[in-house]
Amino acid sequence: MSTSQSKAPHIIAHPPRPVDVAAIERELIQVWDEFRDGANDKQAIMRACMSNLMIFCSTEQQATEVAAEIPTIAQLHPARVILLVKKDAHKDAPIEASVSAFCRQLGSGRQVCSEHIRIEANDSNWRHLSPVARSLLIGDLPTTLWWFEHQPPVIQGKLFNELIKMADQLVYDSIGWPNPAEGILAMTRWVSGDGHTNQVVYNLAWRRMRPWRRLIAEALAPEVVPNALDSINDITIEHGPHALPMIWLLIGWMATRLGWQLIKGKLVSGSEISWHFKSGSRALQVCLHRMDSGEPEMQRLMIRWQGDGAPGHANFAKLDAHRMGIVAESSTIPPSVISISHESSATMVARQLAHRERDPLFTNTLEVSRSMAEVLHL
Amino acid sequence: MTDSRQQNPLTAGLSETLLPQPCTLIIFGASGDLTRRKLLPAVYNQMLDGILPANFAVLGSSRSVMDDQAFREFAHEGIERYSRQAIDNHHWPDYEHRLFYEPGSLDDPQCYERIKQRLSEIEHEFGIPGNRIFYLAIPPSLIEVTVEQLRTAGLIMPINEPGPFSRVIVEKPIGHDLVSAKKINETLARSFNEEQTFRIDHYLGKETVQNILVMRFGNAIFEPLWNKKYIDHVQITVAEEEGVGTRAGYYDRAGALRDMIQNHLLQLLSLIAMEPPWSMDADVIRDHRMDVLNCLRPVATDNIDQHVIRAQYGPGTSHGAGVPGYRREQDVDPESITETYVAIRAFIDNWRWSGVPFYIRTGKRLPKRSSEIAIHFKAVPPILFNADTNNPLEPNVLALSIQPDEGLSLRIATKLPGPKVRIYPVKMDFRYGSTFGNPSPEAYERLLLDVMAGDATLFMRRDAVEASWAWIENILNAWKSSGARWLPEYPAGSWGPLEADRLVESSNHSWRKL
Repeated sequence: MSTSQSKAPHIIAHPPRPVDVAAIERELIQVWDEFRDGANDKQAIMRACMSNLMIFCSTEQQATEVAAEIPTIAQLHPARVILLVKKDAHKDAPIEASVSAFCRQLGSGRQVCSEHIRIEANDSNWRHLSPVARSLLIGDLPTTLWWFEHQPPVIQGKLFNELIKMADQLVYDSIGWPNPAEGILAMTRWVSGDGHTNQVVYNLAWRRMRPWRRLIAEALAPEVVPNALDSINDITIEHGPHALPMIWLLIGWMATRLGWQLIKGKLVSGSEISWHFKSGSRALQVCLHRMDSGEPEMQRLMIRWQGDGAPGHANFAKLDAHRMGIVAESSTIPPSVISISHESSATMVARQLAHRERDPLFTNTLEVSRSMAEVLHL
Repeated sequence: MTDSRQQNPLTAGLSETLLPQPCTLIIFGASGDLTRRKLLPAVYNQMLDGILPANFAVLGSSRSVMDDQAFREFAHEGIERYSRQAIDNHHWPDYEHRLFYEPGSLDDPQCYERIKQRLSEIEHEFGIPGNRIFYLAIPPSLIEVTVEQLRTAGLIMPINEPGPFSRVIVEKPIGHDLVSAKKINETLARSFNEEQTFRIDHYLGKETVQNILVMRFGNAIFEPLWNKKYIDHVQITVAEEEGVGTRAGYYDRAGALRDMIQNHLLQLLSLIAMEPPWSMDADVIRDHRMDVLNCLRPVATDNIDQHVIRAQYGPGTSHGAGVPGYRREQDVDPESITETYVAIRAFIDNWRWSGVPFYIRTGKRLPKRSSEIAIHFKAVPPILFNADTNNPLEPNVLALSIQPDEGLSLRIATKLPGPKVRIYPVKMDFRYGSTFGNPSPEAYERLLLDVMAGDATLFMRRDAVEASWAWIENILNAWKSSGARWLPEYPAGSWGPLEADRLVESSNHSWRKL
């Protein structure tokens, strides 16, 4: 047997073709015809489409950023990608459109291709974005709206409301929100309100915390450290700039799962927040400290507990770009390490496209996060 | 036996699929091919994918004299050659740090005392709460002594007592006949209850095989047709391109019937033919698979040649080069009558499948490596487009490809473009590798994860193993009493003997061209 190690697939990005909005579908057919005519017997072209993916950006820069990531999505989850750009432009410019395709070369010589449509609107005609998007969705396929803007989606008001009506799933990323508390309040209101019907709601920041959640759950499992989870009395977190919304979710998750009741919260300084919870008669405090520089992620998490026996503590830390674990020197439990693979936003979105179930744990966490925002009285 | 998923509130909703529990994997036969090619790479890939428990370690043991470092080098070499993902120097130190080795003989009590001591140290170092998985990658003849020694040394948690879990994984073959299979099962049952015993059949860990249930019971269009009214026959093929290779010593005693049909092919048959389960609980699924085995019509021994064909490969061609016949292979008895090819026409005597032939074939030195299950639907009535009896329409075929390319295809009739009505069969193809960008995990990765999580759905239960042997033994006995001194030959590189073609042609069928 020879090695079966996987190689990175070869992605061929066909250059975009400017096209009139009314002629988008016609142009796509033309593209496929050209592919078919240009292929020989060993280069069968397969048009693959598992989802519709609408991506919303509010600046050219965001559009450029996300466009660079679309091949990753085409590779992992072939989809019709409709990139909607609301850009600043002079008022009389018409809506602009272009079409292109991404093809993944398979070992057999076949190519699997998916479509990319870009629609750009300006201040005067952005209201037409959602009707145009609606006409381009492929029926019978799930539709996801990826909100690429660094603001809570609900802030866009009408445009968001129109786009989300067409979608089965909303993907957004709370990392980098300028006002995390306001954003959390706005999103939780929307999730529990009338605007949100039955869409799956997914925050990429929640996904990024998964290795941390897993490590904490495994390291402090009752069979590993008896009573630790029942007797936590202090949590201290250090995080990089812009990571607060993510950490917020982590605390919300622990509070939800461990039955903590929120008592009060305080903005101690521009870089420090604390919350007080209680669980039965036990009080516990959570302190978040933002570092002046670094990646937008959690760097260190110290959990202390006071069990029946000796008190214990565990120092969870990001060890390097590829690993996180429990640091032996400042922990009373054995060290351990898990691998983390850096996933781009596009990779996370592509993986999420295949998941169509709601995550009640996330919804519950969001509720606690809202309470945590409300007590800060911002 | 504890289940940490129920006790730990933080694990709720943590994973979409399985949650492996912290444990030590103890591999007996750790210097062997299975460990090098499959087990150590599987654990490595799990670690890279971030699904291995944080508190986890591997302790290997075999007669080969090695220390921890040599075992780590052995693992490195195996992973470099056989792993789905390449060695990543960022992660390798964390992986090899979890690997340990203790040499010794399986019948030496001192070896188990040393293992006990090592386990104690490892569990302390990694914060593992005493959970242990014993992987018996050893010949069936050594299972009994190993399990008895494990028990005597106190390495296995007593059955049904609260505390850490002990689980055991055993590889096929489980015995070489019904009696020996029962003996092994009884040996295992003295130390492990059925929930702790995982009889592995790596075919069940493949994506396509797991997809059989989803396809059948997750789509409304298939199940109404899944019966004798619409299905003409079913073909299950597991074709191997290779000869016996280094396994000649074992294979010459076993043969294709024991090596492949008794386990892989009957498991596939039971998945394809089972009734809809009412839950995804492991035992419910396994009960329904067992029902199929119970309904398998025993092969009539008085005219066995009309139902079962066996043959041996003769000289021929493989990979463009000449290869010797089976009897000329190294370590094979020159007078051997061990079959390297088997084709069977089987029937399942229940309401759903009455009268539907299930053709099963497997062989070595066939033209290519290919495993698939093909559902041949009945032809449309001989009217309209199928009125020309000289050119009948090709019936629909749903083919589930298991290897090398996992996926499924459906053959349908379609009109060729043009003014005339001309009908052509086209294949609608779905390939895991094309549709989902990421390569599927290896079967062993999935199955090891299942054991860590305590999910036995994809493993063989004792009664199923014994039922399979009982059905196979009928054929073995008939062959034995036939007194045959030779077997039909097929040229290496061909699709098997003419007798196998006649087997299906007698019912107006033909083998699929793969």
